[in-house]
Formats: sequence, C-alpha cells, structure tokens
Amino acid sequence: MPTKFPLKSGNGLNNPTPLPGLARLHRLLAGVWLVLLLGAACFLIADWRNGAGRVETDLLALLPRDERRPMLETALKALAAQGERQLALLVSARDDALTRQVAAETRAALAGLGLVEQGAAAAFPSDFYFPYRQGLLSAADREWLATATPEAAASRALKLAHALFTPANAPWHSDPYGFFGDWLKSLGEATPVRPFNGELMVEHDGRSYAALTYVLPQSAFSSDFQQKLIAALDGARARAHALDPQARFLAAGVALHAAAAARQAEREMRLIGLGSLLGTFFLIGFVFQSVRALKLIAISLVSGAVVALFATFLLFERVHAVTLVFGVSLIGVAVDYAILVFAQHLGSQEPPWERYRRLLPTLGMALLTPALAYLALALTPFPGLEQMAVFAVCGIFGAWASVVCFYPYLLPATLPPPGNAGLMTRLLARWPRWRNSGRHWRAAFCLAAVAAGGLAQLRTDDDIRGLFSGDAALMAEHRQASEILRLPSPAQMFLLDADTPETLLQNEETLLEHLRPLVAAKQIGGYEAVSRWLPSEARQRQARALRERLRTSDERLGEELELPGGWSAEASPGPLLTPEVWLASPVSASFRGLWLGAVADDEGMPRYASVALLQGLAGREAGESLARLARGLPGVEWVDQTREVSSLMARYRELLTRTLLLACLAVPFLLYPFFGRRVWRIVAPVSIAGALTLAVMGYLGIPLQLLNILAFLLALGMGVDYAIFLQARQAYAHTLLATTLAASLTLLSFGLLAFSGTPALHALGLTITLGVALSWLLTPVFLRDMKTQA
Amino acid sequence: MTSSTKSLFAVLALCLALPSYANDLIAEVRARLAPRPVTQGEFQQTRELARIKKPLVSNGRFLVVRDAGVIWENLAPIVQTMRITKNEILQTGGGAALMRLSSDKEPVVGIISSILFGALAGDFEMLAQSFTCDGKVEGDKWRLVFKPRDATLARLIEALSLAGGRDIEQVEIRSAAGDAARIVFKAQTHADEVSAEIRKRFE
Repeated sequence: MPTKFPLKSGNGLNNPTPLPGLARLHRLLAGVWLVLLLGAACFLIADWRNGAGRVETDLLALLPRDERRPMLETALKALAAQGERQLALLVSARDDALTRQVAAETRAALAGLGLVEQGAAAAFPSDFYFPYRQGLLSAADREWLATATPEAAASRALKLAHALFTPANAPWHSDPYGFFGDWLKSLGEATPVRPFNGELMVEHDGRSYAALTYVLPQSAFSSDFQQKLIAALDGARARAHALDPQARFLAAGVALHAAAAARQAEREMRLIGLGSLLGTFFLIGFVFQSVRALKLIAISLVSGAVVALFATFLLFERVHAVTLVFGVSLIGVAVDYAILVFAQHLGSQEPPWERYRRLLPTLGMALLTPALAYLALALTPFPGLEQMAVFAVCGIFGAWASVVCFYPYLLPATLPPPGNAGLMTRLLARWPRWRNSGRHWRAAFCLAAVAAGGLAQLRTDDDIRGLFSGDAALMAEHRQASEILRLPSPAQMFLLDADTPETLLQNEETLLEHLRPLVAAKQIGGYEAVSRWLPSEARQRQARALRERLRTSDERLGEELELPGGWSAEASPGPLLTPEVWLASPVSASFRGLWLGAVADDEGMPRYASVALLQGLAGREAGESLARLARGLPGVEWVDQTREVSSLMARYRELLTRTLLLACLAVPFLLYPFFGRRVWRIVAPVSIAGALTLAVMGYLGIPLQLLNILAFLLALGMGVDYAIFLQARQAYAHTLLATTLAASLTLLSFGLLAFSGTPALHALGLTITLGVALSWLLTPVFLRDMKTQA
Repeated sequence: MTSSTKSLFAVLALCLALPSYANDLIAEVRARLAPRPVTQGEFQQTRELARIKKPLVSNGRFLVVRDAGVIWENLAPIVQTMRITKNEILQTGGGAALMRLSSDKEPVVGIISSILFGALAGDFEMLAQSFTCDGKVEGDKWRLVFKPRDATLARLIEALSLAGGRDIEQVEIRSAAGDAARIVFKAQTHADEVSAEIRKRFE
C-alpha cells in the first residue's frame, strides 16, 4: 500500500533545486495526487466486500448491446434475466425408487441456499383451462370439425362413451367429443416432463430421470453464493454415485458456467499476476541491484491498481472477471515508466530536477501512445472491451502519475551503473543494422516473400462462439440436459410485435402454423410460444363457431343416450380466456418470459411484443430458411443473436482495421516535428513487425478477428514507444537497457495472457506478444549510429 | 399424550403396517390365481357416465398377452378396438385410428398402459408400485381394491377394483372425473405358447 511507504525517507532533493517555481507546483500536484490516491484506496478498502460481490463472471455480459434496436434489447434482456437464474438438475439411478431417493437427497443438499423449486404445481393445467374449453381446439380437431358430418361427430362421441377408459381429466359429458382432451394433449407435446408420484419425471433413451428445476436467488452471481452452490452440487453428485455408481447427475444453468469462469479467472489472475510480479522484481532487482528500486516499482504498480479498480467500480455496475485478468497483464506495461526513470538515473551526476525536466516529454509520450491505443477498445460497442479500456487507461495513468509525482522525492541520490549495461551495448553493436546495400535489399525481399506467403493464408473469423467457449465438461452436461428437457435455444428466436395483444397473438398463430410442418419434417424439434397456451380471441371465437356445427350431432347423442331435453355440452360457451387472466395464473409461470407485453418500439411508440423460441434447431441452413419465413409474415422477425453478434464483430473488425491503417499513416506525421526525417526509423520496425505478425498468424492458422486487430493497436502503441525511447537523443545504453527491460516485462505479462483459457484473452495475449517481440527485435535494426554514454 | 397425537400415531402405525399387509394380501391372491402367458375370452362392459342415467353396455372379446399387451375389442353396439402396449395406446374404429397415444410423445401413456395392463392381466406387483392395496380373501374367492398413492395419478383414477378366483372375473375402473367402467369376464381360456398369429396382432 502506498500509505505504508515512508514518503520522507528518500532524499532525492539533495541538490538545491534550480527551478523553485516548478518545484512548488510539482509539490502541490504531488500532494493532491497523494490525497486522491489515499481517498481511492480508502474507498476500495471500505467497499471491499460489496465490491467483491460486484465482480461479474457471466460471459454473456461481455456480449455487445445493439443500441439501434431498443426493442430487441428489451427482449433479449428480459429473456436473459429469466434464463440466468435458472438451474435444472436431472438425476437418474438404476430404478425408480433409487432415482427418487437421489432426487430427495439432492433436494436436501440444496436446501438452505435460498433456491426456489419450481415443482409439480404448474403441471395441472386442466383445471385452469376447463372453464374456457369451448374456445380451445387443437389444430387437428379444427381441421376435422370443419368437414365432419353430424353422423361422424355423433359416432366419435359414442365411441368415446363406449371406450374402456378415456385418459382425460374431464368427465365424458363435459367433453363428449374429446376436443378438450386433445387440446391438453397438444399442450403436453411442449415439454417431456410429467409429474408422477410427487416428482417431475422425464423419460429419455430408456432411462427415467427426475427433474429438479430451481430459480436461484438474486445473489446468484455473487462468488460467495456460487461457491456454496458448487459445493452443495458436488456433495449431491458424490452422494448419487455412492448410492449407484451408474447414476446420472446432470446440472445445467448459467450460474454454473459463471462459477467455472470465475474459478478460471481467479486461477489465471494468480498465474499472470504472480508470474509478472516475480519476473518484474527479479529483473529489476537483477539490473538495478537496489531494494529501493523495488519499493518504488511497488508504489507505481499499487497506484495503478488502485486507480484502475476505483475508476472501474465507479463507472460500471459490475466488473467482469475477464477485465481483471486482462488488467493483471498490464503490470508489464505499467512498470515501463519506472524503468525509464531508473535508466535515466543510472550513474547520472545531473541534479534530479534537471533529469526530470528532460525526461518529462518522453514520459508524456510514453503515456499518450498506449493510452490512445487502449482507448480504441472503448470505440467498440462491446461492454467487456469498454471496461478493459477504462481499466487499462486508468491503470497506466495511475502508475505513470505516481512515477511523475512521487519519484523525484523518493529516488535515491544515485543508482550504481549496472555491470550488465555494457553487455547490452556490446549486444547492440553486434545487432544487424540496416544498410542501403544490395545484400540487405535481397534479404528484405526474401523476408517479404515469406511474409506474403503467410499473409495469403490469413483468414478472418468473426464467430463469437469461438471467443467465449466455456468449460467443456460443463457445456457437454448442459447440452445433454437441454436435449433431455428439450430446452429451447436462447440465442435464436422469433421476435414478434403488434399494436395490440390480440394482433400479437394472431401474428404468432400465423407463425406457428408455418412452423408446424417444419416440426413434422423434423427440421426443428418444436417451439415455445405464448399463443400455444393462450389462443387469440379470434381463434377462440372461431373454435366456438365451429362447435355450432355440432348441434345436430348433439341432438342425436341426446336421443341415443336418453339424455334430458336441451342437453348439450355446448349449451353455455363459457368465458373467453384473456391475456390478463392467463398471465395471473400459475399455469403461465414457465412461459411468462416469452410474453414481453407492452414495450416501446425502436421509435419509442408503444407496442406489444413476444418471442417464440425453438427447440432442436439444427444447422445454419435451418436459420436461413427461418429468416426467410419471418420476412414473409407480418410483425415477425427472426433474431439470430450469435450471428448478429458475429456480424457486429465483423463490422467493427473492418472499422478498426481502417482505424489501425489510419493510425499507421498518422504516426509519421505526428512524430515528424520531434524526429524530422528520422521518423522512418521509428515507423519501419513497427510496420514490419505488424506485417510479420500477420504472416505468422497466417502460417499458424490463427484467424484475424476483432480482438487481434485491437491487439495490433496495442502492440503498435508499445512498439512506437520503444522506438521513441531508443531514438531519443540521450543516454543510449541506459535507454536500451530500459527498453529491453520494459519489452521483456511486457512480453512476460502478455505472454502469460496468451495461456488464458478464455479464447478472447488468448487471442489478445498472443497477438500482442508476437507484435511487441517482433517490433522490439526490429527496432535496433533501424537505429542510427551509436552514441553511447555509459 | 393428547388424543390428536394418539390418533396421529395410530395413522402412522397403520401406514407402516400397510405395505407388508398389502404384500401378504397380494401373495395370497397370487397363490389362487393361475396366471398364464396368454389369456383370452369375452367381456361385458358397462360404462356408467357421470350425469347420464342410461348405462352403456357393450360386449366384446379380449386378449391379454404377458410381456406384449392387451387387445380390447368392442363388438356391439359399437365396433372399436383398443390396443394397449407398453409404448402406445391405439384406439381404432371402422378401420380408422381414433386415438393414438404414444409414450415418446406423451410420457403418461407408459403409466396408463401399465395400469390398464396391470388391471386386466393381474400384474398386481406392478399396480402395487403406484397404488395402495386393500381387500379380502375368502376361500378360493378374493377381492382387491387399489387406490393411487400419488396425487397426480389420483386426478386420473379414483380406484381399481378386481375380484375373482382362479381367474380375474370382474374389474371396475372408476375415473376421478366420475365416469366408471364395470367389466365382467366370461369364457376365459389360457395358453402357454404365444402363437405367431397373436404376436402379429401386437406389431
């Protein structure tokens, strides 16, 4: 912590300052910065428990928002909010009794976590629908009734009356034609889960599973809750296998993926953080041989961390674990400023203030270029990247500001010039140097040819699924559970909207009529839509009108069965089922999420919206034919989130490629006032490094996508930095040492990031490592004649 | 001890005693029945529908094949057939399928068919999994009443009553909705071999 470090102990100002005005101003700034830092640190400490609960681990939170489509946003948010707190467990043992026991023990193991079980209560829809039965007709019965003769209708009713048994919950007289039974049966096709003996059971592949479905409490994404949940589930799973080694135990839920992601992030933060810190301290200690240098580095890094965390927690409701992992890899970048100062300090006899004044422009530029590169991350609509940008810019600014504000007071009077600097100088002297000779041009030509070969193989891939793959075992379990429970895909759906709830339901019914043949043709497994459980008023009235056709057959039945006069099942049509009644009833509990109700459309006008989800959607072609289907229907739109995000990624990849090219073109002009015609010596190594990195990616088969381009921007920023340091006029050997150190630490941090299990971070780490390594190796090639000072 | 806790204990004791009592009862009935792989014969079925005074009497033939299922043929006054197998309940009349319930579409079918099969073929062990059993045995004659253990099942079936001697002679199925079917079996014959012709009827 910065507070524990005695600020007065270092006596850097052992020389009378030649610039009292600047010193006073600097002292004031340093004081203000110290107060701000301490304030931010106190806030973080006080807010620690709360802050830890705000760490987001849900990978979906990293997906972009589409600001141009507020209604779609509302729809997706509502679905996500409903989906993210659901947990489904499937247990199965060798026989029914044991399955029940496993289910009961699992239930007991999860008790006390605040989960709400969605039991068999909603599984008896017949009582709810009974009063409305006159308006409810299955599609098959609707067709049948439209053409049935009175004889056929009477015969149908008599056959049911004479049957051994009718598997319906209603007595024969209330449903003589079996229409209500058929309608309930058509509802049953929506889910394979059936209540039996107090458990919800599912049959699949000859096994019978007990399904336990839960809604998690609000705290579902706190790491505390997740750990308890995982522990309870692990216990229940172990118990199930103890009872029957062949038992199946499947768990599916967003929270489980989040927990796995959190564990992974924690592991990676430890790996990258520890690796970077150990590397940093080892290298700094080795080169500068000073404990005070290590303490100073610590001050700079802690400041960076405090500022980055403070700003991120202040600006964002939740901080994503991926941001933190990425943030840890910034250690290698943040440490650069301290290294630059130390290097200037080595063996220098100049008064510190003088040194500082001379160093400030370089330090300023060293902050500006990477900061601009990181800010490019925030240009994208991806919340995750935006957060990374804020974290990175604030982090390196914090580290930089502490170096600028505190170091003059804390630096030791002098650092002994390291013996290893000479090695660097010798190495640099041997380094290949570009000359305008035929041999060099030939070499360059060969390199260009090899690079072209790689570039030709470079391909792009904007598939979002490649970036956020979860834990493989967990995914497999999730898929299996989804298949057994026939859960719909949450990423693809039909979005419907209309002026009134009634029109909305009618549009939905039209859509479902087009989907039914697809189900029959097994192109899709099934669908979930509100109108299945809540027919439109028009459809209910149509059903009643069709039943009018049964008058004659009713009379015939009356005679046949010696029924009292005026007997008719259709005597009173009963009430119509309305959305209000349905939504208020427990039967709609599992499907209410499909009904978005009143929303504002993209122009802010009030609309009513709903979504229809599909089960067992296979292949990309299916998606395309569904998109075509939606285009031909009123008020229906096909939403393929995975595809849309991927196309958004492609759009931004193109935008950022242009930005990158522009930046490459702008750099020479920006640097021209400082370096004059030497600018090409700065630009050349960075450009060549960029081209070679792309070529390597081409050869390795790593596709080009948004994150690589972003990584390129970052690598460009850093590469230009090294070139600037080295091309700067003074203290060659020391600057070389500083650059070497800075580059190796950056390489270490990003190199470790390349080991991340999150493909997004892996891509970032790999590209930056390649780009930085190449530009660092190439920079000396384009140096002017050496002018050593050591 | 208050009277309410006393009665609670009595109920608990009864519940605990019940399974073994039921198992003994089933074993006793089993000893009198002579179950064979194939049983066929005639039936007279009387349906009493709620709110309808006239009982609906039909006559027909039945065929029970262990491990395969039941074929229930109404011959008069309505001609229709119900075939109950493990995975399907198929109702046909005049050549056309009136109702086809298959267990991969409607999982409850498996339960219903096992109950109907249990009742018509005398598989009491299967019934005892989902029903409580009560009844009495007098000499060669016996009577058993099955009531659902589970609330879900109780919404479908109120009770199953079976009576007989060496054969099942009477079955009554009372649905929870208030409709009932009383069945009297006649002219039952048994066989040990399942003929190819019979096999074919279940395909």
